[in-house]
Amino acid sequence: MPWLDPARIDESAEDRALREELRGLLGGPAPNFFQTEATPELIALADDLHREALRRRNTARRKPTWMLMAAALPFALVLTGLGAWGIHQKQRADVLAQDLARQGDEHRQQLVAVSDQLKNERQAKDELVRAIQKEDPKAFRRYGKELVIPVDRNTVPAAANTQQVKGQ
Amino acid sequence: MQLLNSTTTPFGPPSDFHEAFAALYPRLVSYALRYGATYPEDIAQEAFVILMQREVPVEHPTAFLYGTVRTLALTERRPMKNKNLSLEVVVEQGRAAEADEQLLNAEVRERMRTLSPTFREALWLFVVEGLSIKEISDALSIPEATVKTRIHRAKAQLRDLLNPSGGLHALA
Repeated sequence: MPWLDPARIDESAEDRALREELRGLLGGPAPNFFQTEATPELIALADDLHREALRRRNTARRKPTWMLMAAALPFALVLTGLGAWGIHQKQRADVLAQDLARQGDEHRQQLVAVSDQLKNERQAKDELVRAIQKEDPKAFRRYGKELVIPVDRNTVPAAANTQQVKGQ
Repeated sequence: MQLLNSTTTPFGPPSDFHEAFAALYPRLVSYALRYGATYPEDIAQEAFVILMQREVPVEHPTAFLYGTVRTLALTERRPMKNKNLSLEVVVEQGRAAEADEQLLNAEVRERMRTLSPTFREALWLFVVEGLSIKEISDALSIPEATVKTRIHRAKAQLRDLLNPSGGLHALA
């Protein structure tokens, strides 16, 4: 029987022996499997079914693509919207991060400039203190390291309604 | 993958299909009757049409037919799809006895009736229908190991039935 399933043709001897054993336990005679005669009525019915199967195969409506697309459209729109929103948020975050980095650089540059300026001011002050110390060591000792700018009394106008308590 | 054209069938050329149909159709009708189908002939014919309608051939066409008949017969008996009926209920309420009478003698019928429905189903396909373990596995959608377990348990139940005292049968 060429149409017989290979799974049954290649059945192991163990399975065949088990079937015979079970058949013996059941007590019935061995049924004549697949011994039915192919009568003209059965052949006609088989051909009819074959034709019906071919007709269904040829006329079966495929699942229309547009219906699947229509069903998937809302999900696609939602996913697209979420994706666009996510990309937009990502771009905003990138811009903010760049601004933050740029502001940080500017602050660092300003800090360096202020530090340089402070350093220059301190150098100028030290040079001035040394010049005063060299010019008037006595005054420098009196006032310590404080910066005292000598005043020309002749240029200072006399204060009105004042009394001098100690002569110079 | 090889596709079936209009001249070939899952069983090969038309002559082989005629032979297979003549052999399987009465058995499938009887099998549908076991599950209480009201129109077992329609179910068997529908199973053949479904099998041949497929463009991609199935690995085990006989097992596919038995599985399809079983599904169609159970579906016909389930008025509500979400209502789960046990195999016991379906087979007992079906016309299994009527189907058995067509194929088996009284002694075999009586011994079959003592088995639990799950084991009886596997035993029926294995011994009476002559399906292989692999085909039963495909038809019932269960692993091959489960099929073997059920068949061996059915065998054990049959041995207990024949030898209720235990051991005497083996000694004899």
